[in-house]
Amino acid sequence: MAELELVQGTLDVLVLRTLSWGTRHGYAVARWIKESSGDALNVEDRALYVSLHRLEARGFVESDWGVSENNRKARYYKLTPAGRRELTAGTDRLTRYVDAVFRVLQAVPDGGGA
Amino acid sequence: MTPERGIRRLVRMPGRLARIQREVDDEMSFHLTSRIEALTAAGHAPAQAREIALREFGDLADARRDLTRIDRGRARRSTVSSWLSAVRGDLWYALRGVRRSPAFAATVVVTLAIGIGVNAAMFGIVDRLLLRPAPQIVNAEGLRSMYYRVTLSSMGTFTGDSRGYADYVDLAKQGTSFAAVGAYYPIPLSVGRGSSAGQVNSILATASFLPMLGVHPFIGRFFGADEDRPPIGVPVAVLSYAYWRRAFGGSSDVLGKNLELNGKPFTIIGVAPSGFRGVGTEPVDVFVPVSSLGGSLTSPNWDTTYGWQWLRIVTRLKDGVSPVRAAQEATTIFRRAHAKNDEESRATAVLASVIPGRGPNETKNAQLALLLSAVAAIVLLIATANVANLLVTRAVRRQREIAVRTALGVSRRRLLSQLITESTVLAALGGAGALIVAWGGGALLRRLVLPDFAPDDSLVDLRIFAVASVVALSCGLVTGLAPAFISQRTDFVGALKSGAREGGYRRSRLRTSLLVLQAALSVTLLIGAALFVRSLTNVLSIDLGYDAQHTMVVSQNLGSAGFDKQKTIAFMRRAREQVTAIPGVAEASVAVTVPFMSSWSTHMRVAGIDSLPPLPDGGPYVNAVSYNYFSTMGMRILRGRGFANTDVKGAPPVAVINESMASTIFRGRDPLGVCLFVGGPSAPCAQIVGVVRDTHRQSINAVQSAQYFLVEEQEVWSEAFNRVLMLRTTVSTDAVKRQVAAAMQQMEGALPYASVQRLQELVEPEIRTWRLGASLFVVFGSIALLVAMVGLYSVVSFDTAQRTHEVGVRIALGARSREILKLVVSDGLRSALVGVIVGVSVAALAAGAITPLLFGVSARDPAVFGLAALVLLVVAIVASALPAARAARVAPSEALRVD
Repeated sequence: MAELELVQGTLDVLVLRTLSWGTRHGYAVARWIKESSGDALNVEDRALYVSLHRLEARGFVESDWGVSENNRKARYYKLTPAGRRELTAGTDRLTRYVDAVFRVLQAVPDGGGA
Repeated sequence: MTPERGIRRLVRMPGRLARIQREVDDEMSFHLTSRIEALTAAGHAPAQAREIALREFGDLADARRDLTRIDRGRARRSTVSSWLSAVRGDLWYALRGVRRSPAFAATVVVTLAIGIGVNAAMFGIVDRLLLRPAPQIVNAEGLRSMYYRVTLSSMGTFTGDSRGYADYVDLAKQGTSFAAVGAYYPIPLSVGRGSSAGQVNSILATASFLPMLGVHPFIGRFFGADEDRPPIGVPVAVLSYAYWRRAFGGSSDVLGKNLELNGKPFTIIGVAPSGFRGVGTEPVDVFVPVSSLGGSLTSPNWDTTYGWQWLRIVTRLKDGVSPVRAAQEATTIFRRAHAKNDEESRATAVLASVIPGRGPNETKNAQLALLLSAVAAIVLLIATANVANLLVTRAVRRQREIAVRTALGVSRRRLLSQLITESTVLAALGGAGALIVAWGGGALLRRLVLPDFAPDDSLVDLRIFAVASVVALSCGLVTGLAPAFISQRTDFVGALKSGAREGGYRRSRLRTSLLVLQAALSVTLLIGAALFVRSLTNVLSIDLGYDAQHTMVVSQNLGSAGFDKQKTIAFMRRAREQVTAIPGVAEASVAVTVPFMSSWSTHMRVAGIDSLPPLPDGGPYVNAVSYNYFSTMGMRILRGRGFANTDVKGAPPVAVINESMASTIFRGRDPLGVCLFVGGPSAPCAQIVGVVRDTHRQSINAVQSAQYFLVEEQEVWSEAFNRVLMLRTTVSTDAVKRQVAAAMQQMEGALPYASVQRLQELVEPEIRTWRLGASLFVVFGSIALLVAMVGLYSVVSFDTAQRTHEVGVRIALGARSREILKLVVSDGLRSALVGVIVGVSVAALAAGAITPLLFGVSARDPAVFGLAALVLLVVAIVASALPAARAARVAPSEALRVD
């Protein structure tokens, strides 16, 4: 199976979703998205970090420094209440988008065609 | 080398930027290290693991740059917002403080409003007088007004700006330093005739004058050189914007219309831009070519003579030509033309700025304006000292609150910013109040100080607004720093542990110095006020020799109505009778010259005296009058007789001389019966029949002027053809003035405008300096005294309140209330006394600067100094006696229970 490019904004929703289960550092978020998609999504780690930092600048997540499971200093991200609302809205947007795409793909023209 | 170390090595950045960069690097290196570890654990060789991790991550440098940018933006926004919220907090805290103690806030705001407002208003004066040229002039720095300094054997050195048209032509034709040369002459002209006759302020200008100032017509055009060709130019007129709006409703079809000026029809060809009034200060209604009226206003040979000295010359320097060089050239040109005249051949040209207060003869006005600005600044200093003292007092009172806040972890920096925000809020409110003071007071001040200035069209003066804002903010900072300084040094723990009782209240040295400063400055202002009031009363008590309040001068340009000398004399005889019939007019007489308006000196010979000695005030000066002149003016005859109605044309000519002339020319000889020959060699003998008391001619300064009088109908003095009426009035109202003017304008069909002025109006400009100095010094001095009094009162009463406990103990120990009173009052008095000593010394040192502005009083007058010191001490006693009396009434039990 070929790797898929992500549509703009989709990554943000995936990141928010990942953080909805609790506080994680960037590496954990990256691994989770890669593994849960079965390595099907072609996303550079770089893009993921940009997404995290942007979300923080927009107030959807906040970060703090902590110690990782392997005893290293790591930056941990946490969803803010605004981020939780954004996750709901983003999921909704994404679902409607996918639905719309599917409806087009399944539609058949009326009366045969010329 | 590991990638993370490489990243770290890239660049080191300062401060917050460096921290953000470091955190981004840390985060990325944590990711890569974790990933490499995981891949190695899964069986990859280390080198391979690193390669995979880096590929998965994407471009490192890009990521580093993007993340840093995002985080930096976030940091910036959060700093701004936290700063804003801190400021909001401080503001809220400050406003709450204002609401909680409105009386305190009101005192501070009003004090500052007066202090700042007075200064802003004074700045408006100084700005107009010394900093700003007349409106609409382009590049005024290149313009110079021409003056010529001449030393006359009779009158000493004087610097005048009135020259002949020939002087202007010389400068324009021969001068190489000047890009342009122009000349102008401001004069009121009569407009219209008969009952609707009026007067306009005109400027007669050379064609070069308006263009050289850089102005362009608002509508129509200005006149050109072809319309200003001597001896008789084209009668065209350019209206000022204000006159166009006032007289023609601002209608654009005004061009081509006629305007009758001094009996001559002028065609309106243009309107000047709004506010433009030439280089002068007085309002202007109309500009006309100098050649259109030059001949009729002066003499037929006006364009070739140096003799008529009337025009003011303005030049624009060529780029790169220094004023010194230009002055040298102008001097050379002038001396060459006047080589035959002994005195003028040594004259020096002086180039002066066109800014109103910077001319060589404006020093008195400018000095006064600067002195008053200094006084206003002192008022502000007193106000600021007072506000600082009030704020310090409050800071001390809030010592415990501040201690609690500090204990709760408010940083000293926050505390400082709160204190300064608080004082800045108060100062801003004061500044807003100041604008109101400056607006109302400024208009009043301008009318007082600069009554002849054209009114300003602008409602809000941005420059005054800027000055008020800057001063207000500086006041906020300065007054806020004082309590901050105190609170920084406060021992908070001590303050918290003890009550106010043991809070170690001691009046700080800062507060005492502020009190002393206020007292000293107040004394200085009081001394200034007293000196000016004494000067003014001295000036007003001068006996001019006539009653200027109840004398009116009526002048009318009869020449423009085609009157010759005979017709004028006959007309004046009838006018005298007509005007005397008006209720309120007691007597009317004819004269040629008028005190403080005009004077003549002409060739004159005294029988038996070969040559007249030079006289202290020049002259002798001649006047030709009707027989009843002395009784109209109230001038007493000292010897011989005055004129009688038998001294008519055909009767033997007679003359009356004044006492100065008798003493300086006749020196003990009897003048009665001696012949005066006025005019050329064929002059008839006018026999001296009397000696009259001296009168002031042109100045209120007591210089004796030799004057003599002839009978105008006898026509001994042939040059004089213009005549005015002098009226003695019992009622000097404007209604009487209007009746007189109307009668004169309608006597013989429709005549030109008749100007009617009280003689006092002509004398007033001479007195203005003292009147102004006295009134403004008194106002400023009273404000200062009041502010200082409030300051002393509030400080003493606060001190006393702080010492309630001590007072209570003393009373309990048997002190009598008189002793308590003495204790408190002497404390306040001590500061005042030190202030008086300092203030008196300062005033004594500054005496030299003020001396030229005083009249008949020494700048170190002991009575004035004593009075000012006394007033301040009395005020100090009153201000401290009130709180002292309160303290003395305190019941000891109550005092000991406090806190």
